[in-house]
Amino acid sequence: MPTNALTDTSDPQTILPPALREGTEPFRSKVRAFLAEHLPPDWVSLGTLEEPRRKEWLEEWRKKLADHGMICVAWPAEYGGQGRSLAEHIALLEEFANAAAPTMRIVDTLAIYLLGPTLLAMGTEEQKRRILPRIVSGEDRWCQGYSEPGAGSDLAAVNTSATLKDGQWVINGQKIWTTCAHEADWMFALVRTDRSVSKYKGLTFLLIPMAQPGIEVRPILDMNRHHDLNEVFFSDAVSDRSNVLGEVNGGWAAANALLGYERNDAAIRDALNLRNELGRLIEVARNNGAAEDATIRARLAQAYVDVQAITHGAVRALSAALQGKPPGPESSVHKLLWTEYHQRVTTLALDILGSDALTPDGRSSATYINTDALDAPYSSRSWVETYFAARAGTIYAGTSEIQRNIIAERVLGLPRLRPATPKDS
Amino acid sequence: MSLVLSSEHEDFQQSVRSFLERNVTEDKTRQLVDSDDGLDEALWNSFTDLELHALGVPEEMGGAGGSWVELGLVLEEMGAVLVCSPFFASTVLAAQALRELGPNNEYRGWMDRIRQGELTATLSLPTSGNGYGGVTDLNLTAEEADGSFRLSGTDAQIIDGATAGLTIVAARTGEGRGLFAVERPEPEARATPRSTLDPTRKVASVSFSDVPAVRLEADDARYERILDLARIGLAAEQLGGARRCLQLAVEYAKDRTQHGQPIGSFQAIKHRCADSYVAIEAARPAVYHALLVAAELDAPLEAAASVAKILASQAFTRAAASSVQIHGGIGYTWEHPAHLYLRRGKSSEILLGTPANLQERLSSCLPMR
Repeated sequence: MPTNALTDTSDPQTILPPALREGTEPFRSKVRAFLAEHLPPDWVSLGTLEEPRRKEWLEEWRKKLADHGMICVAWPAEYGGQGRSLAEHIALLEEFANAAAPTMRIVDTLAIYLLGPTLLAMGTEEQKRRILPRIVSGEDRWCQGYSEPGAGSDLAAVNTSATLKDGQWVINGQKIWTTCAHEADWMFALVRTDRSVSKYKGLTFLLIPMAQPGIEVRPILDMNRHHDLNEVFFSDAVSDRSNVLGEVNGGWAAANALLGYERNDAAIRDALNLRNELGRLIEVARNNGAAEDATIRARLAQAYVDVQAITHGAVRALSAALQGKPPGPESSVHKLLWTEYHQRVTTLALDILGSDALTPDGRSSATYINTDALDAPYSSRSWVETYFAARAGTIYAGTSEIQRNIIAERVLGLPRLRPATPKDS
Repeated sequence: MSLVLSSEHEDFQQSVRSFLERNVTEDKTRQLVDSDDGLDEALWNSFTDLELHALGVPEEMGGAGGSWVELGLVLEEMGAVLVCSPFFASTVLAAQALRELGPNNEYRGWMDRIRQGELTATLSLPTSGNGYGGVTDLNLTAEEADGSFRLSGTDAQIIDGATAGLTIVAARTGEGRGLFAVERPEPEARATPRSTLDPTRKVASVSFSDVPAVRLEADDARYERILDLARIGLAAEQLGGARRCLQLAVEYAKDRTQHGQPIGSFQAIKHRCADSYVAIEAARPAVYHALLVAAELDAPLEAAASVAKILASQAFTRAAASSVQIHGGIGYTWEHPAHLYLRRGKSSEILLGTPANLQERLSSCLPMR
């Protein structure tokens, strides 16, 4: 009787080695007790709920997370967190993943993963006390204003301007691909505050309130015809002078610091999601007979191998962080591995679905990058949508091409391309 | 030890690396490539002096403790410089088989001699399909008479079979399959060196005619464990080879100029190098994880070994092929070492089970039926 490789560990409920679980058991029990008490008794996953019930449920759930201290647990208590260790935070992610319980809303993602750590590292005391507790409580929703029509991979080419006038910033220009801008109360943005210096030196990291007449948000429908993305237009929009994070004209450093915060927890979260998703795909392939095909089995086995690589890499990065080692290039490696894997596995999913994929039906996928959780009823639509949504992964947050450049230049030390001069041609 | 190397392990790896870089030159390796036996006595003796043969064997069996991590690091460094030596056959294949088959020191005599470098050993287990050949695939037969066994037939592919003092082979018996050990010199066991895809790993065909052999007790589960340990060791070696290929390619890409600038400034070259790096860093934690599992006696190895071997194979052949491409014309020559790595990469990918074989094997541990 072969062992079950998906759960090939003495404890099928963990992907973490014992050293990383050490000391987390009391908190784990607390988390499990919370889940047992507050998840509906017949809970399967978010994916089993239909809209608009899904969204309502998620709002109620989000409130419970805040009320019971089950979100941002590793943030310091004075800013609304629980002062828990990184290991305890990971324990929470794992327990939630095992129960198919959401850890946050999609609109929380950027605030919790990107803005929060940056504020903790670079924010003033006043900013931290004012902003962080409202992220934890869910009262403030944040979007990220980086990309512009003329600044994609060349992010430092940002052209939206902010000028100080009568003690406040006046903002003009346009952002694009802004996830959740239509739901957000605030935007953290890169804006140009000095045009007289090099493009990297005149940028400022500015926090901007969204509810004001100078801001117009227009929807962009994505490939799935879903509305997550937006264009945001600024016409004399304003923000208080105190809303600069870091130094004026120090925005590039702040944005890079933000990218550099090793979100080891995000890698673990991805690994957990991918494990669950593959488990579910195998179940689909078994149920519809696709697993009888040797080439499908081989591709599923390779998918398992790839998830193992991503998991061990995430565990390694987490171990290094817990040992206080400075982060390496793991985040570029992780992003390339998981987003490219996700395109392969969702392609495989459609091959497994076969003709079912031609007439998608059932529920929409529960989140915009992962299918709904294990044990949800079969929905061909969720797989088809995820196949398309996976295209975004290799584009947002630094395309695969940019990640490869980062590895080649910063890790391998290959030289930057010298721009062609007329005499070369 | 976790998936992050401790500073002790880093120091150990560094010292092994400098030793090998001093003592394994390309010139010497090429002499060994042209030899039949592929054995450099001085190098072998220095491995003995460094107690490398004791790695991966528990202390109670006379070894250096449950030191599979150290063994893995040594293999990684040996792979990086393309060591041509019976070390893998003797210290990994054979010694680990004896570790598995003789948990109560049944084979302590041989193990002690292997550890002391006095005896080189090898193991030949046919692998095909999803792990190993059926009984009918075995070309050797073992006849029992008066409580002892005699081997006949030819095993056409035994790694370092021409130099091994102890040869462990699989053979058909009346009831099925068994493992047998033959200690040489044994006049009726004749080894013929074979031409090899990878000339830095020697292979011989060994013919047995009615040769006395010792039966080693091994059920199918043990048989698989022995193969899995070998796969984990090989994966560590592959990781080193891949690392070195990438390093050679990057050095060349920084040096070689075309269109007035280093070719490494072009994205086409950068992305090839980055892809090799990503493949290596995908494999590394999986290989280290497998080494940790291998260190524990009786821990389940099947999934960890298959995953490590698949990822390391994919990383090594990718990096080796990319290195040839980035080196351009010079990379296609016999004089340049790029092909030696491609040869080692491709042969290691096939040895002990191709990625396709191992995928099929893994799929039987996934809940698919």
